[in-house]
Formats: sequence, structure tokens, C-alpha cells
Amino acid sequence: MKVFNKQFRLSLSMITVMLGLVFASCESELDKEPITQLTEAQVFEDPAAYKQFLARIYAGIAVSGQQGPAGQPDISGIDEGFSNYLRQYWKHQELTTDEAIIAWKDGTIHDLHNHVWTPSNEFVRAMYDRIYFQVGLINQFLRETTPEKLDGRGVDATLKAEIEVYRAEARFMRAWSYWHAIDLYGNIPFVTEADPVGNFFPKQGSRTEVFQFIESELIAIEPILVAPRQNEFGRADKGACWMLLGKLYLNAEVYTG
Amino acid sequence: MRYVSVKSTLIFYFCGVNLRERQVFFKQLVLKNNNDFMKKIRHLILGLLILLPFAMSAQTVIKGKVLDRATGSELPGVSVYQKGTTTGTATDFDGVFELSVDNANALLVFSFVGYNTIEMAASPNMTVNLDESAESLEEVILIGYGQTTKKDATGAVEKVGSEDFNPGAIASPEQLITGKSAGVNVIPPSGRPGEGGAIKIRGGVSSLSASNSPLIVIDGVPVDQDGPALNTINPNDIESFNILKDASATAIYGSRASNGVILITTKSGKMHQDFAVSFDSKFSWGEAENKVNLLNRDQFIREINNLGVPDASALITPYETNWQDHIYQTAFGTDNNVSISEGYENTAYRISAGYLLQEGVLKTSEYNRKTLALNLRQNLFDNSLKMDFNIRASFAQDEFANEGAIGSSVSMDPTKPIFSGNSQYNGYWEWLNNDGSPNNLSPRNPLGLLDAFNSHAGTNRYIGNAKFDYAFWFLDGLSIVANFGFDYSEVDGYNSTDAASASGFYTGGSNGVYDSMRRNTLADIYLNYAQTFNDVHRFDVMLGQSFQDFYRENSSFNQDGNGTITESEWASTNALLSYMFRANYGYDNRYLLTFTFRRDGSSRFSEDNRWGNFYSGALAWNIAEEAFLENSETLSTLKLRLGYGETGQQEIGSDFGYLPVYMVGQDNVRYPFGNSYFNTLRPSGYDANIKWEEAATYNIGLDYGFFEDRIFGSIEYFMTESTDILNTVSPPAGSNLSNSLFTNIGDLEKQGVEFTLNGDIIQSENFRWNLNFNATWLENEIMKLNTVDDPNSPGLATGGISGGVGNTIQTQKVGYPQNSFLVYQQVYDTAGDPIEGVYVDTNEDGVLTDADKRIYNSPNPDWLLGLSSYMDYKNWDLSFTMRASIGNYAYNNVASANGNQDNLYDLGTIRNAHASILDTNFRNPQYWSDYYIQDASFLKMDNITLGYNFENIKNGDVRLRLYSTFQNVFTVTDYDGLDPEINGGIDNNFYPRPQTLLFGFNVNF
Repeated sequence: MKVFNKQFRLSLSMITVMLGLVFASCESELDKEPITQLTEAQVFEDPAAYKQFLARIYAGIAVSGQQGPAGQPDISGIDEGFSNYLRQYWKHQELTTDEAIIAWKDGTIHDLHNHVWTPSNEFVRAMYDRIYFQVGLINQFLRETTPEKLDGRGVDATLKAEIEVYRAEARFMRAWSYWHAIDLYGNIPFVTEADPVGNFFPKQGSRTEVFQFIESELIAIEPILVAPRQNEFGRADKGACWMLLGKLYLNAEVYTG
Repeated sequence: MRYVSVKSTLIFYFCGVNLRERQVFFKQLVLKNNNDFMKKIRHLILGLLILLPFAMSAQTVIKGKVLDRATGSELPGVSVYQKGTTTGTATDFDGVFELSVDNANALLVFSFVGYNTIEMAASPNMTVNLDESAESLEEVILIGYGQTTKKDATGAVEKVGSEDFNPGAIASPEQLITGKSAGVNVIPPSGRPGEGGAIKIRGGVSSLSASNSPLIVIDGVPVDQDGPALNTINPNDIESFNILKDASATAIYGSRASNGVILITTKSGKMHQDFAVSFDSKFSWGEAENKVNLLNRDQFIREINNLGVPDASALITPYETNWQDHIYQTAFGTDNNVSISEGYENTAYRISAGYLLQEGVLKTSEYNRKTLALNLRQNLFDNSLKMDFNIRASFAQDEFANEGAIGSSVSMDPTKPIFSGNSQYNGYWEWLNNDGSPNNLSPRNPLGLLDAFNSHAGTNRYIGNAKFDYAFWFLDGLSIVANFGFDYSEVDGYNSTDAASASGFYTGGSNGVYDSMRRNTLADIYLNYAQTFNDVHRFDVMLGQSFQDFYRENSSFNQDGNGTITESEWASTNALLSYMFRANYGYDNRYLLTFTFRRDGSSRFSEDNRWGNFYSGALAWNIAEEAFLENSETLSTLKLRLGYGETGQQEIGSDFGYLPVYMVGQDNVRYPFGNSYFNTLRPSGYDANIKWEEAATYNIGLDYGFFEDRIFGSIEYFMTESTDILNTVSPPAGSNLSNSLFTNIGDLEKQGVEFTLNGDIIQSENFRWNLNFNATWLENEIMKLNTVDDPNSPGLATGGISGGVGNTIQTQKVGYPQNSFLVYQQVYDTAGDPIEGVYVDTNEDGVLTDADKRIYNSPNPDWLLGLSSYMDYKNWDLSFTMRASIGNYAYNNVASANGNQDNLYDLGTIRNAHASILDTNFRNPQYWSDYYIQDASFLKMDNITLGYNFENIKNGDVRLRLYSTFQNVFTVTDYDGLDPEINGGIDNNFYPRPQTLLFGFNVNF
């Protein structure tokens, strides 16, 4: 049965071809890559990236962001200049005693001195966020430097051996921050590189549990770390590890109840 | 080639003439007419357009008159042309026309907006009667990738045309429709010159995040929701706004439609239209009428002395300066627009140019903008191919003031002079340390701040599209439409602070440059098939694909006098690929059915979450067309609409929020290992599972019209359930790499009722009065939050305030409206004044803690009302627009931060305080007292305009209108702050909206 005449059928096939071209999938256009930021794959193409990442972990106690003096802050919710790790740690250790006072009114800073801080005090919050920024950063470093990942990226043996030490130093830095956490806050959210990155409630670690974790970590990394005073300036060695173990044991009764 | 003479109307005419012949011909024409300036312009325009042959004809002269059949009154401005040619004219003010036609029996076509077009054979001294069309019903409305008529629409779609636009000094397009449409809340911008307002359709509460603006589509090109601002589009070039409100209408825009869609149509040339020139000029003067209520000098001195601190009292000096009076100025503005347009048989064009200058009421701020727009329409192949080209360019220049001066003018000591009498710090009086350096912790002299700061930015934007609509020859009703568009903008900015000034002292001044670029390109292709079978089955089917690609980059460089350099560079991109389908079916104009489907792919999500499907369906029943109502004298329209639709939101703040990306630290945050410094690498927070925010909307609407739609309107009810709403939240500590993450956080529900009533109350020969009233009731509630579902949790803190660092006043909490205020309940003494620091222990645990803060109102209005009136008497017209908002609360941050004694004397300086201190006598700031959460309901008269039309200039060939508009006439409110209408509800150093008086004229010939 001839429903359509020849001309019609011709045009119909023309349109079909045209539509085929027009609607041809350009779905691959949706596979965009970052331009000024680097993806995981792009970053670790460069073997130097591992040391740069390690540098960020150490810098985490000194700098406030990626831009300096301000900009691209690590944590938000507080003035970036106030947000520095050591500044926060010093404030919590000193302003709560009679050794130091900040007289002007940076928000609720007087609450530390007056011993009336609450969970909504932005400094108490910023210290907490700083600690977990470090922990998150280090967990990510440990996730990205597993032997499987390194092999997958074709990292050579020399660098792999170096990264082994980096990993130990990163774990030292995590133990150090977790020690601040149990010292300042008690029972705390407890996450390691085994946890995913997302938006979930981590399980709570009691002071005792985290104490045991810190202790076991320090004991585990001690043989891997560089001998005292033999490492580059700015990096942890066995001596630092002993220091932290010592500080931990000094207050062990408080932490383990 | 038919060539008669070069003397009468030019005609564009497409036939088989080769290009060379055309060029030769065109040159002759230009030579012969080089003494006629007007024609030269026209020829130049023609040359700019497609070079086409033309033919001449001019023989018989037909005279006639066009009347309204119903009233018998003469109709001016009716377009008359000879069918098959482009010989045409328009009737004058007496409805009379005169037209030269090439034969005495020519067929003439008469058309006029609001009337049915008719064809009639020419005859000497003919009289033509036109019938009014059921205008509001046959009015074409756009629905995205197609159009329909109001009668056939199934969704909640509203068109606001240029005749309804707000008059006045308007720099940004959205202000044209403030208060004009139910459910559309356009919050006017602050007084900052050139700034655009915020648009919220149906409360715009889909994502809880700051931007809840609708998708804006200009001539089919969706603009980047990430900017640049709409103010780069000249409002004078806009013909209409089509607002798609409910999801059955917006779902065709899928993942960007949750906050509604606004389709903006720009003015274009019309076929068969005489050469027309329109010139419009406005001049305005604005004043900052309201000031922050501060202590006057005497009150201030009394309060300082009441402190009982001799050091403080000693700082009072015998001068008097009302700082707020000195930082504001009378802001002059002018807006000038010229447009020319002409239409032939197959070609039409419109060219417009505009120049706007707007000073700010805050000294040193200014905005100016030059715009140019070109529209060309060309029909080919017997009108089967319709082409529409638009290109618009805008060149805007902003002069920014240092708005820190607004805050300084509030807190600066009123007993100090403006000038110190010496030349230090450019002569301005400043608080100094003992060594003569500026006291860094005191307010700066606001005039010194303004003077020392130089900041300007130029924004160039080019936006255009080319649309091809081709009707296939083999199947009546089938057409293919291709629309290619682009939107390119670049910003070039500069700022500096004078090293000699107090504000530049510590940095040795600074100089900075920044630039940014935004680019998006669009390609839409869709097939349309519209056909009616057996006179009763009407089908309209659309199938299409759309691809849009976005690119953005920013960079900045800043160097201060100490040599510190801050640099940044950022670029990003994203893309959207969509397939869309729509089917409309109408049976006998009575039953209408719509189904739409859109499948969107966004590069912003991981491959697992990349694609989203968005469906919608709608049903409409034209009850008035049923036999039992068809002959009703009173009821002219009655249509019931039911709709359901799914929409999404893909504005997730980051283009790669699903990917772990790394950022390299800059040189000044390197870390040393040994002797070398390493640039650091930081992973950014991410949520691999981030996905579309989805909203399902139910809508029921009733359109009604009485007395042939002299009174018409609609009433709608809608309910939206949003799931996986997106917002920036603090993820639980340890769960992510950052303490701030943009992610799906929970569910939200909103509902509302919209009511519109339009009426031609009086329609007599000399006096007409039209009223338009709209009302909206809105409510929203957060139904679920993924991480803080605990009813005892204070929710997700939001709404940063001035005072302290990182403090917030609002929260997102389950069971409450979005952005509700979270505050203490103030206790008052017997005199009705608040008692400092005494709050209700709401959880009755005997101590006052953060847990005692409770939810207390929100900035969301319950009711929005709009009233527009237009009346004319003979040549006079008078119109006004009024608006009301009921149930919205605002936090008076100016009072809470400045209204206390602690602020009066601080760090060795004395500062003025908000007058609320006279009532509160607060010693310390009480940021979270609900005393500062105030009812900000208001009634405003936005504008009132009086105009006069001159009709008898040059026998009606020239039309002149003179008018005057008064903007921001009055505000009725109980709110204590500067202005109750604050977007977001936190009132802090708001740039005041000026009260403006404007004079303007408009000439058409």
C-alpha cells in the first residue's frame, strides 16, 4: 500500500538523516575536566606531587589557605586570619589560663578567658574544624599513596620507598592532631583512611580508644621514620615520635580514665 | 529585473537576480539620493542588511478611514498594506490613511493589535470596520521551544507586555515587572546605581542556597545563572516577559526550572511597517530620603557622659557633623534611547541605541551604559523559511564607591569635624594613635574613605542569536526550528586606595586589577508539528535537542604599597545536553492535554548521577466553550487547569563538586623542606554522590473572564515537594575534606495561592480606567534534613551577621520555614523596655544556654500584594503601582551592632550609636535578642506617573508624549530600620534606595 508518494518518502528519509546528524550524540561533551584545578589523575602524573601533598600536611599547622595572606581558605565560618591551626591551639592553651589575655573583641574570644565558652563559640569550633581538616587531609594522602595506587600509576621503586616514609610522617601528623583532639575535646568523631569521603556521621571514638589508636600508630611508624636529626628541615623524625609518645603517656591517666 | 524608478518605497524582494546586478543597482540608488539625509541612513541600513533587489510601483492613490465597528471611533496607527507587496502605511490619528497602490483593484490588508486582521479590495474613499479580537485569549504566549495562545495554555504562564511595564529610572530589566504578576516577587535592588533586583518566583525556595533566581531565557538563549547581571540588557529593548510558574510549564527546561523560568522577548522589526523612528529621553534626580536613626549630637553627648568614664567624655569636641548628610548626594540620571524600524514584505529590521547614566546617592558611585541592538528578520521561499537574527552589545561602566563609608557614617563620632585643618591623610579628620598613625580599630572618616578609594569596572556584553524556522513543503504543519545563540561578556576592573589616606596608611596604598570572562554557546534544534484534524482534533508536537556549553574565567592581581602581591586565576566550564519532547492535544477547544518530557545531562555530576528525566502533564478544560455556557452573556472565559511536573536544579555552586580535585598553593604559602620551598597541593572537599535537586509540583488553576473579558484573571493553588535540596552545609567533622560542602541536604515543601484580577473599570470615549490586582500567599517548610534530623538540634546555621566573627542569626530546621530566625526570647520590664541579658529559659533547665534560642519568625512574607492602576482622560494619563508584603520579618543588625554602650566608647575612641540604645540601654551587644527581629511588613507606592500626549503635531505624523514619574513615593511600615524590604532579612548597612523624580519625553515619527 502506497501511503506516501515518492517525493514524500524521499524527504522523510532526508529528514531522518538530518535528524540523525543533528541528534547525533554529543554526550561525550559532558565529560568535562577541571581547568585551573587538577583531577586526581592529573595531579599524580607528576611524581613531585607526593612531596607537595606532604608539604601541605605540614603547612596545615602554619598556613590558613592556598592563597596567602588570605584567599582559598582551608576552613570557613571564621575569619581566615583567625583560622590558623597554631593560632587556635595557642589560644585554647593560653587564653583559658591567666598567662595571656586578648583584650579586644574578636567575636567571642573573651569567653575563653572567662571560662564561659559554649559549643557555638567560633574559636572552639574553628580549632575543632582545623583538627579535622588535618585528619581529612592526611586520610586522603594515605588513600592516594597505597602501594596498589602507586603501582597503578607506575611509581618507581626509589620514590615508592620515599613515599613509605612520607606515609609514616603523615600518620605522625594525624596522631599529633588526634592527641590535640582528645586533649581538648574528649570523645571525638574517629575516622581513618578506611572511611569514605562524604557527608555522614562518623562513629564516635572514646578518649581511651583514640588514645590506644595514637599509641599504636606511633609505635607502628617509629621504625619507618628517619633517625633523629637525620631528616630534612621541617619534617618529623623518630625524635618527634618519641616526643609525642612521651606527651601522650604523661597524661595517659586523664585520657584512659 | 523590474525596475521602475527610484523615488518611492523600497521593497525587498527575493527573486532570481544575481548578486552583481543587485550591487550595481544599489550603487545607482545611493548615488541618486545622496542629497537626502534620511534616505541615506536608510540605504546604509539596507546595505548593512542583506543586499537584495527591489522593485518600484506607484500609481493609484487610495484614501480611506478605519473605524472600530463596535464604537465607531477612529482607529489610529492601523497598519495598511497592499497584499503581495510591501507598499504600506498606517492610519493617522483620525483613522485616515492614504496609500499608493499599483492597481485600482488591489487587495488591502488591515491589521491592528487587538483587532482581527482583515483583507479588503481597494476602493476610493473606503471605510473599513475592524472587530476587536478577544485579545487576552488570542494573545500569543511563549512556552519554551514553541508558543501557544492564552486560550490553549495548560500551565500557569503569564505574559507581562511592555504596556504593563513599570515606568521610571530603571536600569535593569526585572524592575519592569516589579509588582506586576502574582507569585513573582521582584525585590528591588538597593540604591547602588545600575544594580539589578532579585527575582523569586513562588517564593523561589527550592534550594535553600543564596541563589534561587529563575532561569532567564533571552530570545531563546538561556543565560548563565552564574552571571553576568541582567542589567547589561537595556530594558527599553524588551517587548515582553513570559513567566512560566508551575512545573507543567517549566518542566520543558528540566534541570534548571525549579525556580521558574522567565522568557524575555526583545523588540524586533515587524513586516509591513513604515519607516519609524522613536526617541525617548528621561532625566531624573534621586535623594536618599531615609537615614539610619542615630543619636543626634546632644543625645550622643548625654550618653557618653552617662558612661561615667572621664576618658570618654574628654574625647568630645565642640564640632557637629551629621555624617550621613555628607556621604549622600542628589543623584542625577538620564536615559536616552533611539530606535528605528522598518518592515517590508519579507524583511524587517529594528536598530536601537541607548545611553544611560545613573549617579548613585552615595557619593562617588556611578553607572553608565551604552547599548546597541540590531534585529533582522528575513523570510524566504514564500515565507516557508523564517529567519530571525538578534545581536545586542552593551558597554557598561561602573564607578564603585567604598561602601564601607555607609557603616562609618553610622559609627563616626558626631562631634568631630570633617576636616582636620592640616594636610595629613588628605586633610580628613581621623582617629589617630599617639604616634600620629591612624587608629586601625576605629571607624574611618567616611568622606576620607570615599575620597581615597578609586574603583571602576567596565563590562562588555554581547548576546545574540540566529533562529531559523523552516516549514516543510510535504507535510502541512511540520517545521524544523534551529536556534543558535551566544552570550559573551567580559569585565575589566581596577581599584586603588590612596597611600596618603588613612585607609591606605598601613598597606602603603594598593593597586589592583581584575578581569573576568563568561561565555556560553547554545544550539537548539527541534521539530514542530501542529495540525488540526476534522476541525476538532488539534495536535502540537515538539521533539528537540539542546546543547549548551559554559565557560568562565576570573583573574585578579593586587599589589599594596608594602609590595605584597595577591594574585589569583580561575577558570571552569560545564555543559548541558538535553532532549525534550512535548505533545499538546486539544479536542474541540474544550479539552486540552499536555505532556512534556525532558532528559538532561549535566557535566556537573558523576556519570552515575549525570542524567535526569523530568516529566510533566497537564489538563485543561475550557468550561466556557461547553454548550451550557457558550451563550452566557456574563461569563466569557472559564478554564480549569490541572498540572503536575518534575523539575530539577543543577546550580550546585561547583562544576566539579563530585570529583576530588586538587588546588596548587601559591608561592607565598609554600612550605620548606630542607632548603627548598614546595608549593603545596590541597584536595578540595567533594561529594561523589551529589545529584540533582528534584521538585515535584502540583498545580490547580482557574482562569475566568466576565463581560467579554473586560474583567478577567485567574486563581491558582500549587504545592511543591522538593527532594535532595542543595545547600552549603558543614559536613560532620571527619566525614569530608572541608568544613563547608555543597551537597544534597534534605527535603522541602512549599505551597501557595495566587490570585489575579484585571478589570477595565471604565471604558468611555474620553475616560478609561484599568486596574490590575494580584495577591500571593506563600508558605514553606523544611521536611527533612539528612544530617540534622534530630528535633533538639538547632539546625543548620545560616545568615551571617555583622558583630563578632562568623556569627549567624538564622537556621534551617526541620518543621520550620527556611531561614527562620533563631534567637533568645527577650524579657521586658514593666515600662516595656528590654532587660539586658535576661531571656526566657525556654527549655527550663535553669541555665541560659544556646539551647534556649528558639525559632522566631522568618524573612519570608506570607502575603505579597500588587496593585497597578492606569487611567487616561483625553490626552492625559495617570498610572501608579503599589505593592505590599505582609508577614516578613527582618533582623535590624545596624541596631544590634551599634545600639549599645559598649560601642559608644571602645578602644580609646567614641562612636555614635543607633537610637535604639535610648530604649534598651544595653551595655553590651545582645545580637540574639528577638528585640531586633522586627515585623517588616510594608506597603509601598513604587511609582506614580502623569503623562500628556500631543497628537496634532504635523498632522499627526509626529507623536509626542511628555511625562513625569515619581519613584519610591512612600513606604508604610512598622519596621525601625532604613528599609523593610531587605533581601534575606538581615539589615546591615544597606545602600539606601533613592526617592526619584523623573521627567521624560517620547517622540515617534
